Amino acid sequence: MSWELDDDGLMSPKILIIEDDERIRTSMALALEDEGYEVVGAADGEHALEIFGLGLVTHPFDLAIIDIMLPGINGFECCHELRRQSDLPIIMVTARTDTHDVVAGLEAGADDYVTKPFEPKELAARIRALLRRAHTTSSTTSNLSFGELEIQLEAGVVRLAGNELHLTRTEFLLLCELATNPNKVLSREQLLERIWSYDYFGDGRLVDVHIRRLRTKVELDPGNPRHIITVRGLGYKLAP
Amino acid sequence: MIARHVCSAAVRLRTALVGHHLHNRLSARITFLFGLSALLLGLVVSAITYYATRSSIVGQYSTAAQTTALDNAAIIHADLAAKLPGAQIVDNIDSTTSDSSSFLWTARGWSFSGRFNLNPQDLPAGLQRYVTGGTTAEQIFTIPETGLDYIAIGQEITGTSTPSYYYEIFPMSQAQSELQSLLSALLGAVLLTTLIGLLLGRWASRRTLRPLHEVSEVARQISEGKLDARIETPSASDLALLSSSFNHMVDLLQERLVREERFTSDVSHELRSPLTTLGTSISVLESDADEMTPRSRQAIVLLSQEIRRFQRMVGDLLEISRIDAGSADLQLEEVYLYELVRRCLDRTTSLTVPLEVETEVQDWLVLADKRRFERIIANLVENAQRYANGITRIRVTAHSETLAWIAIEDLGPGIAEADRRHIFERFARAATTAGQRGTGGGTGLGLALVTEHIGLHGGSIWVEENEPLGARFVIEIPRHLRDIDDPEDEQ
Repeated sequence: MSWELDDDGLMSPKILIIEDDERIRTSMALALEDEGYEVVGAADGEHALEIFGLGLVTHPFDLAIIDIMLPGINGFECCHELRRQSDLPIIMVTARTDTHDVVAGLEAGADDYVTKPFEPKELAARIRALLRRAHTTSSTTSNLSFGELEIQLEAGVVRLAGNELHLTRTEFLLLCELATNPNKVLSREQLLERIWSYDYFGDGRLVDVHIRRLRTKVELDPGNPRHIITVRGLGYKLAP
Repeated sequence: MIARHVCSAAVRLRTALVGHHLHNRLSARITFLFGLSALLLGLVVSAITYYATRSSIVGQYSTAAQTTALDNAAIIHADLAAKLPGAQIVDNIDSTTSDSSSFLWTARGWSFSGRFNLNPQDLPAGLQRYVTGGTTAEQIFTIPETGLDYIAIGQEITGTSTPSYYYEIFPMSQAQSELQSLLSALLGAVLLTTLIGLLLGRWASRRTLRPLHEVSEVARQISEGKLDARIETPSASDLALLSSSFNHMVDLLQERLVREERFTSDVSHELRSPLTTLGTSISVLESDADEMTPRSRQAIVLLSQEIRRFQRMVGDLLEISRIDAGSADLQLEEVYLYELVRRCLDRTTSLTVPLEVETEVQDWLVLADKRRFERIIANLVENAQRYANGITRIRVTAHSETLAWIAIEDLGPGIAEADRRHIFERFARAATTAGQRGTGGGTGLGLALVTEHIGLHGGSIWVEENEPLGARFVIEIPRHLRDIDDPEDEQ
C-alpha cells in the first residue's frame, strides 16, 4: 500500500467510504480525491471493517463515510462497530432527513450526517470541519474538576469517580466547551458553530443526541443529570 | 394524501359522534323519552287507581246513606201517619241518627235539624226536581263556601194525604280527606316514577352510547396518528357490526397508507441514488472545466444547472408527498423571528435587501423549522428573481398580539388578481397577459411547497398588490409565547 503525500509533503487524510452503490462510491471518490483526500471504498459493512482493521496496521483512516442503507451489516451496526474500535470521525449518509434515521445514526456513534443527494462541496466542508477539529489540541493546560468528574484538557482524559472514560472526539469537545464556560448557558447554535462549524441552520439534533450520549458517560445517573443541564428554550450548561 | 384524508375523516367522525351536539342531544333525548314514558305511565296508573278508589268509596258511602235514609223514611212515614208535627219528627230522627242532617217538606213547609249549618237552600235544585217528581234520588254536591262534599238522598214519603218529601244529607268529609291523601300519595308516586324513569334513561343512554363513545375515542386516536388503534368488539354487542366494519375500514386504510409510504420511500431512495451520482460526477467535471473547450464548458454548465434543478424538483416532490402523507417531521425550534428572517435572507440572496422590522416584533419568538423556513424564504426570493427582478424590501410587522406578518415585496409586473390564488397550486406558473413571465427554470412546485411549509408552521400566505407596483407576498405566522411558568426541562 502506497502512502500518498500532498504538496506539503504531508500525508493526505485517508477516508473510508462505505457505500453499496458502486456509481455513487466511485463518483464520491473522484470528487473527494479532487479535494486532496486519499479515498478507499468498501461496498458492504463486513468488507469495510476488514479494510479498517488492515488500515490500523499500516496507515490508519482519518474519517469514515457510511451509507445507512447497506446490505448485510447495516450502516448503523457498521457505525457502531467502527465506533467500538476507534474514535475516528464518522459521517452518516442518509436518504432522508427523517428524525428516525438521523437520530439512530447519531446514536450509533456518527459525528455528523449528510442527506442524499448532497453537494460534494457540502460533504467536503463537513469533512474539513471534522478533520480540522480532530487535529486541534487544546491550548489550555489546566485541569478542571466538577465533583466526581475530572477533565484533563490537554491530555484529553476524562475521569468519573477516578475511572477513565472513553469519549469520542466530538463528545470530548462538547464537554470541554461546556466545562470551560461553567454555569454559562450555551445555545444549540453556539455549540453547533464551535464544534461542528455549522451556521445558524445547523441541525440541533446533532447537539441533542451528543448531549444525550455524553450524559450516559459522564453522569452517574443519566436520567437525572447533575452536571449537564438542559435550559429550556436556551440550550445547555454545565453545573459544577 | 391518504393519511391526511384518514385523519380528517377520523376527526369528522369523532366530531359527529361526540362533538357535543349529537352525542349530548342523543343522550338527552333518550333520557327525556324515558322520563316522559315513566311520567305518562305513572299518570295513567294513578288516574285509574284514583277513580276506582273514588267510586268504591263513594259507593260505600252511598249504600250506607241509602240504608239509613230508607230506615229513617220508614220512621217518618209512621210519624206522619201519627200526625206528629214536622219539628218533632225531625228531632226523632236526629236522636237516632247522628251523622246526618234531615230535611222534611210537608204541606206546612220545611222542618229541618240544622246540623252542619245546612238549611233547605243548600239542597241541590236538581235533586229536589227529581224527588218532587216522585223519584228517589241521590246527589253528591259541594258547598262552595266551605268546599266540603256531601251526599244528599231524597225520597217522597208515600201513603200520606198530602205529598211529603224527605231529604237527608250525609257529610263526606271523611271520604274527601281519604281521597285527598290518596291523591297526594299517587302524585308522589308519579314524581318518583318519573325520576326513576329519568335515571333509568340516563343509565340506558350511557350504556347505549358507550360503543359510540368507543368508536369516537378510537377515531380520535387515529386522527392523532395512532393508526393501529382498533375498537375492541364485545361479542354480544349490538354495535358489533359497526365496530367490525369500522375496524375493517381502518385496516384497509392503514394497509394503503403503509403501501404508499413504502412506495414513496422506495422512490425516494431509487431517485436519490442516481441524483447523487449525477451531482457528484458533474462537480468533478466542473472542477476540470478550465481544461475544456468553450463548447464543452458551456455544455457542462447547462448540464450542471439542469441536474441541480432536477435534484431540487425531486426533493420538492418528495417533500410534498411526505407532507401529503403526513410524515413530514418538523424540527420545530423556538427562535427569534427577526433573526430567523435575517439569517434566511443572508443565506438566500447575495443582494442587500432592506429588511424592516417593526420595533414591536423585534423580540418575538416563533416556533419554526429553520431549514424549512429557509426554503420558504428562498423560494419566494427565487420566485421574485425569476419573475420580477428580485425582491426590493422585506417588512416584518405585528398584525395582532399573536400574529406576525412577513411581507416580501417586489417591483415587478405584479400578479393579476385572477392568478393570485392559482399561483400557489402545484405546477402553476403565473402568466401575465403578455405571456410567460421571466425565463422559467423553477421546479413549478416552489410556491405550492411554500404554502405547505407555512401550513406546517400554522401560518398562511397570500399575495397582494404592492404600492406603487409589483407584488407583495405576505406570510402570516403565529407568535410563540414562551410559558415562563414551565419548569426547566431536565430531559
